[in-house]
Amino acid sequence: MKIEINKLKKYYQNKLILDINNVVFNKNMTYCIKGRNGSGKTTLLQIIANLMLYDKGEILYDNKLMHYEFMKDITYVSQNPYIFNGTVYDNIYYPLKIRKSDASKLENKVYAYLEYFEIDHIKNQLAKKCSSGEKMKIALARSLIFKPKLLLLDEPTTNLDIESIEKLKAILLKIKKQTTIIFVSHQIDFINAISDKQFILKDTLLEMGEKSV
Amino acid sequence: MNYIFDGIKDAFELIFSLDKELYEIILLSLFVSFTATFISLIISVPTGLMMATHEFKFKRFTSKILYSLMGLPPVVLGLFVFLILARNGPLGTFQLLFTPSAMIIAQVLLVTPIITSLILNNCSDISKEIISTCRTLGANRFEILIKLIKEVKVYLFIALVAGFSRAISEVGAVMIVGGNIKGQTRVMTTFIALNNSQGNYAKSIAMGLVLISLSFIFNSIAYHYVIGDKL
Repeated sequence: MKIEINKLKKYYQNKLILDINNVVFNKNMTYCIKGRNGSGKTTLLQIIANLMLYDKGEILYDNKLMHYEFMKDITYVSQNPYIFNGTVYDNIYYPLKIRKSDASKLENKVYAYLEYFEIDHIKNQLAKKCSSGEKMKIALARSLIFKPKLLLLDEPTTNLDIESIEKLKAILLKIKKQTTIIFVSHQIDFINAISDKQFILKDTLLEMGEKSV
Repeated sequence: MNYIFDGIKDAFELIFSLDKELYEIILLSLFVSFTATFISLIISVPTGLMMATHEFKFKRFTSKILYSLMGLPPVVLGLFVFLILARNGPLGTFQLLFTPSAMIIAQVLLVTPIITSLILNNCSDISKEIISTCRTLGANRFEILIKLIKEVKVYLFIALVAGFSRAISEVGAVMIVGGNIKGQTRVMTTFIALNNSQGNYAKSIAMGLVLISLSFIFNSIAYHYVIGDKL
């Protein structure tokens, strides 16, 4: 999915916190947004994910304005993802359930993701009781399982151990050919390993500049 | 001191003697309070969830009013309902005063702000997170609503139990609008107040034990649900 941001402005309590003139995130490319804490990276991701309103400008998704149907192809994983009540399995199963996917294929698909993220041993455990790292894995598996066209990740390596970060790297490298990925991270190795382009959201919060890897 | 122990002994005898009047009062109390809580739930759940999940003009002011209504003195509320339902009042033609319907109206007005405020207070932050998560996973409005209710069911249940406990233990308002008429509008709390003033301690204690038992049962159910989902 191609994302084009034109003359976007976002204010918070009458203060301009985002001012993006023109940025294009091309289809099936991976972008990293860097910047200091509080520079507006999460706000930008949430605006692209249609979770937050902006005040001026426009965002085009495949050259069209946001339509409710697009939400089925966009996913956002926050730094502290919300985990639903129920088991780990239930959490990962949820996006497939609402898409009414072929029931016979569902179970295998969920098990494949449980196994990949090495959380199969806790599949029947209450998800809310899991550790922070396990919760991040659940959220990632839950968001990746329906193969979104646009994947927005807000510091996905938070709470993950080195091995899990490598796993995440591998799966992102695998899916990046079919998915546009925009992520926020402070981990240099992770950024360099998976991003095609990097942007810096300057702490003036006004402009977004491109920077080569 | 003896009158207390004698009262407790007589109370148990009264409970197990299946006294008709006693059980009619219990059933009427349960009917009035269950009906009032049910009506309050129908009003409070959508209102509380809507307020918790939406930003709107005067939200802070509306919330303040709602929280203030939680502490509304029942006697004042009873007086208000009495004046509205009195023969010369705006709704006097319906002749609801001194009927169980009047008591239900009073309890609904008393309980609705409590349930709504509890839902608003407990669900505000969590609801936004649930909605955002559901949206980013591709859920439509109906699917989000279903998920939201499932996720906050513990808080809804806590609000329900708090509302019901408030309704069933209410005395001032139901005394004013119900009139404590024997066989018509006499409920557990007004029964206790009346018998206590007449020196019938056994009857007061018996009904007090029933009230405490009911309260214990409902709170135990709530505790069970909270433990089941939270710990």
